[in-house]
Amino acid sequence: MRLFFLFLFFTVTHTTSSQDYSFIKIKPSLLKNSDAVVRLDESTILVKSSDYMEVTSKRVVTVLNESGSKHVNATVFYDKETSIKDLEALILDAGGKEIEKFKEKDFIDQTATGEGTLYSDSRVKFLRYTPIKYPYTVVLTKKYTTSDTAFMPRWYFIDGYRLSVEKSEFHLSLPSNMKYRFKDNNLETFGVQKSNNNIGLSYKVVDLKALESEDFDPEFRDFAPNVQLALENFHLKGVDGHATTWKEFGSWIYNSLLQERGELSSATTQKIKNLVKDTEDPKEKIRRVYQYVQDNTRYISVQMGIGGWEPISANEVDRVKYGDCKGLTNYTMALLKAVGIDSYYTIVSADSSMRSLDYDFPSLQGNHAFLNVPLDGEELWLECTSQVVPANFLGTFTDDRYVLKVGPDGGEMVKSRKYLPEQSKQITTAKITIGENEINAVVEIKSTGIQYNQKYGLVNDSKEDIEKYYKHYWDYVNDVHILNHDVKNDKDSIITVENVEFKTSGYLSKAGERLLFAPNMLNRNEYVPKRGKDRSRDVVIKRGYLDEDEFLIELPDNYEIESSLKTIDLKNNFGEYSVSLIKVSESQFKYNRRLLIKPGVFSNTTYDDYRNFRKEIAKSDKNKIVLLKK
Amino acid sequence: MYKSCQLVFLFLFLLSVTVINAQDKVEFSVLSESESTFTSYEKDSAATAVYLYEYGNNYFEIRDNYIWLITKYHAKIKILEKEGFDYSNIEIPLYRSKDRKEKIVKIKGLTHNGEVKTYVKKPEFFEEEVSEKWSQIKFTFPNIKEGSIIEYEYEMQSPFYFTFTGWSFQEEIPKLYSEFNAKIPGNWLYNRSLKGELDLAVNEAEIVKGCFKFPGTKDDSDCEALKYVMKDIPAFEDSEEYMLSSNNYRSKLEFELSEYKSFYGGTEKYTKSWEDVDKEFKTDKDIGSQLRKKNFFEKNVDKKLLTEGDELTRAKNIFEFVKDHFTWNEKYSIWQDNKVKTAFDEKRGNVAEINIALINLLNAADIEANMMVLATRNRGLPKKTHPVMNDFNYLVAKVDIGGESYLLDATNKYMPFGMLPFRCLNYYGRVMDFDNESYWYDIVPEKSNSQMIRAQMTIDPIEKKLSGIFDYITMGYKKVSQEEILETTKEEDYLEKLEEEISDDFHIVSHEKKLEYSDEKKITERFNFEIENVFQGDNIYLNPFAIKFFEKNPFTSSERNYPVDFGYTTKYQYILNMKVPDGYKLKSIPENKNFTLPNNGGILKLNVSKNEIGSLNLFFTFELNSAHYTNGYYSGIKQLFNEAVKSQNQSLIVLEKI
Repeated sequence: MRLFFLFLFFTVTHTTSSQDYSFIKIKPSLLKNSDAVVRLDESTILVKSSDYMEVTSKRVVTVLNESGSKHVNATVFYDKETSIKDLEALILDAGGKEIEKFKEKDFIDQTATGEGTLYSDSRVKFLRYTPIKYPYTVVLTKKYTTSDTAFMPRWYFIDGYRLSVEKSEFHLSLPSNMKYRFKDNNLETFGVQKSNNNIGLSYKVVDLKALESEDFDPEFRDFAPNVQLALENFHLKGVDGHATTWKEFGSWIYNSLLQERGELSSATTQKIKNLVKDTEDPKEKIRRVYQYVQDNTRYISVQMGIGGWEPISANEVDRVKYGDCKGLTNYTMALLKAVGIDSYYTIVSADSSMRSLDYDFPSLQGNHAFLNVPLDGEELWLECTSQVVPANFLGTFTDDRYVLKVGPDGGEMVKSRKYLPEQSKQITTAKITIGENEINAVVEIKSTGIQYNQKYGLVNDSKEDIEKYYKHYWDYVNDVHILNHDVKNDKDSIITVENVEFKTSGYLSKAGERLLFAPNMLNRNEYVPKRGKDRSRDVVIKRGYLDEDEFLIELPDNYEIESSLKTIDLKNNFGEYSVSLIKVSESQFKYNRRLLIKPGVFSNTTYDDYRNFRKEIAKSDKNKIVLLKK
Repeated sequence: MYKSCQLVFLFLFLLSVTVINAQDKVEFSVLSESESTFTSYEKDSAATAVYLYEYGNNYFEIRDNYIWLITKYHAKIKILEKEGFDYSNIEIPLYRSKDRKEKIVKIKGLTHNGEVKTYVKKPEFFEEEVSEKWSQIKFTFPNIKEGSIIEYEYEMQSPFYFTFTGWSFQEEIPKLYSEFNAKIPGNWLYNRSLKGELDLAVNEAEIVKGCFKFPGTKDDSDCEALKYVMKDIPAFEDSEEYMLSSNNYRSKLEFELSEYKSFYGGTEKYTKSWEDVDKEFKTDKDIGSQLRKKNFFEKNVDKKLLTEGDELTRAKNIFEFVKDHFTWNEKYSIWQDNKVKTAFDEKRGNVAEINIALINLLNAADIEANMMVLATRNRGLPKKTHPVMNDFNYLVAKVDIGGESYLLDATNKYMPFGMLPFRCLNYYGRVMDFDNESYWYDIVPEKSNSQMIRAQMTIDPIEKKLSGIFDYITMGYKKVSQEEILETTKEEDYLEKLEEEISDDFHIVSHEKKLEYSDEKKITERFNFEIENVFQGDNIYLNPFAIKFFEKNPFTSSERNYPVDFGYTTKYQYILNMKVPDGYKLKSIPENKNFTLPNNGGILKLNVSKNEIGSLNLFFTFELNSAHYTNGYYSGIKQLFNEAVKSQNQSLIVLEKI
């Protein structure tokens, strides 16, 4: 094939080592709030065909202090499809003089097998360097070729907080007969220049100042400049693909990676049919099949070649009774099909940051698979890698984001389940009996929604770990002695019920005739966001929740309240908080507390309001009453 | 001296091998009656899995003209709960050098579910390259359920005789039966020791005549046949707060190659007695020669450094110079190739290189300095019965000046002269004296380690504000950590963090380091502060501990399995003088407290008094007078911490309006 290369109006200059990277050349504005300065970050992707591309890059980073070292990024991943052609690092001193040189063989070569993975053929080479002085500069040049063009690297002009950039350039060049798509984000505010045509594109930016991270930031990728790329015809671990829409992506995944991997032996088919033969209710069938999967399989991941994308067959999972997310999802789909229920293999970007697959930019994305089961207009969700999570429950790993449903008709973008704050609820009721030296508390905590997510794992913990958990949960109470505890996980109603009784002699303050007691002994919210300095970005609160507390407080004999709590009732855009303490009888008081935190995106100017709201809560939760001996 | 990686192998001219059969052994894939009916482990209801059977056998064999060390291993594990599924993921590490490597020659894996047997298929065993020296075989078992029994067996052949390091009886899950066998021809001598508190159920050693035939030699070698068994081994309870290495407590049989007698005559000694070690050390090309680079250092440093001042001044100057010159690369590497000269040029090195450079420089300045080898706290205590060089993983300088001895480690920039980093506070080390015999030497940690607050406060009843000054004095190890914080954090960030930690209403008005009250082992900082919203209403309720040392008890468990080891003694002291504002009187003050641990092991004291001129004095001290406490002290220590937390969190002063 003949290739036509593009001469872009930013010339791709391969800077020589005579380039001056001394520290004093850095503009003072780029040193503010930075741990490191990227002097040059330049990358060129040369696509030669749908199954061959070459990525050449040079990255020069001046590290100013210890925390800056993580920005060097002297790392390259490789596997059977990806081979490293060049890899070299030069270390320069503050004056820009070369002091050390690392060739490819001096890089550490390691398996890139992640946690929870039994085996993977992916490997990594990285530089281990102990700096002797700051600042120092690393000049990293690397080049690799790969047949996996399904993943075009996403280019970030700035890759993290506390990092400034002198110059960042990115180029793509490809034959004119190859079609590609791209999407660039947040370029304008950062002054990125660009040019593009049918045989490539080119970007350049200079002098990006360091960004500071702030509490409740939006995701970095949502405000930092970056470019996404995809080829219309691509290649993945020996498999060809073509897609420009999510529908086409779904078709490709279905046809190339899932088809004919759902066969089951007749014995297993019969077994699963028997399991549901006495019920007509599809929901009950789903519940039983899911329970069967949970009882009989476990999560083990083996990633080799296309195995990183293609599930192991249902038959194979049936034999070994383990698999990764893809294998177990495909297996559950096959079992459901055997009892006449259609379900959809679904791809998601799984982690608590709630990242959606990019609705506007169809490309190979996501890192996890789970199962979607539509049922009479309702969408049910099954997480097939967990042996304990209830059917149709999604935690922070996969909730509320765009995911790709894959089926014979292609792909479809849908939103996974969202929990409203009122659904992520925790109700704490307790009887607190105060003695002159000791306090006894009998507590019940019910949790649902996202709050359930944080609790259901407790059921399987050892007695010792559960005790530790409570001592930590109530860590503002000194000297907790757990007398008994019981955690129930009701998987049908998706609720946990904890019953705990404890005593403590480390909570009351005593002074002569008086006792000081903070009524919120069981559900404090002490978190106060950091003091804001010129907040620049939106305030993003991803998930909301609701806490309701009611404690019946029994005073010791011959004591009365000398000074009580002020009733509080706060309402604002961020939520609601109310507290009251009322007398029930001569010796009994009732403490009620309600805290609602609403999710949302709020303007940068409201940060201090939010902080004050949380500050008020934190303070009120610590307020004490004074008891006086009669 | 000690060559941990020396490879001993032989080329043979003839091939004829006689090996006495190993003991009767349990057949693979067959469960005994008691194994197949086993349901739960009553001795430990929390166990998620349990070894029903474990067997190991080590012996020497000639294969393809080489003498190999063969390891046979066989285990059966009952999976009791889902949480125990992870025990079915197996990793077998394999060592290699540039040209030789350990190899698994046979391996089998099988899951028993009642009568149903599911084998691990061949492609399901993976070999993974981990690093230059290590790879591993990884696999998992199919068809795992609660109640499954997993069984596996392998044979490994190794060209390295030093990788035979023993047998781990005790692990995270309990074992019903664990048997270790070895048959070792007289040509190989291994030092062996049993660690931990558990007893052997079988402890047999016998001489087997003529058990190993070495081709070309006249007589067959005799072997020592060993069999050690432990039964009902409890799970090893893992780490607790403030403890020494679990290696000190875990039941394990340790082997170390001490001598190899060649079949052609001649003996290769590894370790035997300290006399041997000393002798080898003196003629050794590795560490020994690195210690003789005085001339190099003399040439490469300023002459004044080596000659100016008295001995102690020179030693201190050299110590500061070395700390400043080198950056530690976070490696210990005391037995591997150390290149002191290169390290000096590169200004970077491992523990051995930096401290050997230090010793060289001290020697060049005519100061008596020797190398002391020791084990870090994580490593475990070195055995005193005989030299096990593998026990040691760290090296420092021992300096003698005018009858005083000092231990020095130049890897940490903030460590004062004469103090070792916390990781080295592991009781004793061996001083390798060039001119005389080596000897054990105790590591005595710095004695004054304290955090002290001296505060003066006034209450402003109208503004409902508390203000004043306090001096924060840190000494010893507490000073070292404080200095590191001060040196590596911007003052603005340091103060902001401090304010956030103390409370949102706490404001630092000014902060300075009082140089006149600071020295090598002490920092005094002075703070001017204000606290807003300290009380509501007419009466003033106030916790006199405006600043706390800690708010939680680090000890929460009701029981303790291992001794408590803090590394060094500690003192916390809080002294307060507070004026009672005009128009108020002291209504009540905290009760005095006085607790002590037996044998003067610790003290907690709270003394509060009011004097006539209308002010209040508070004196609080919390002292842990020992670095190490046996289990018997645990409840006492826990209680002492409880009282310390209570004093700080729950003390209350009430001032009443007159």
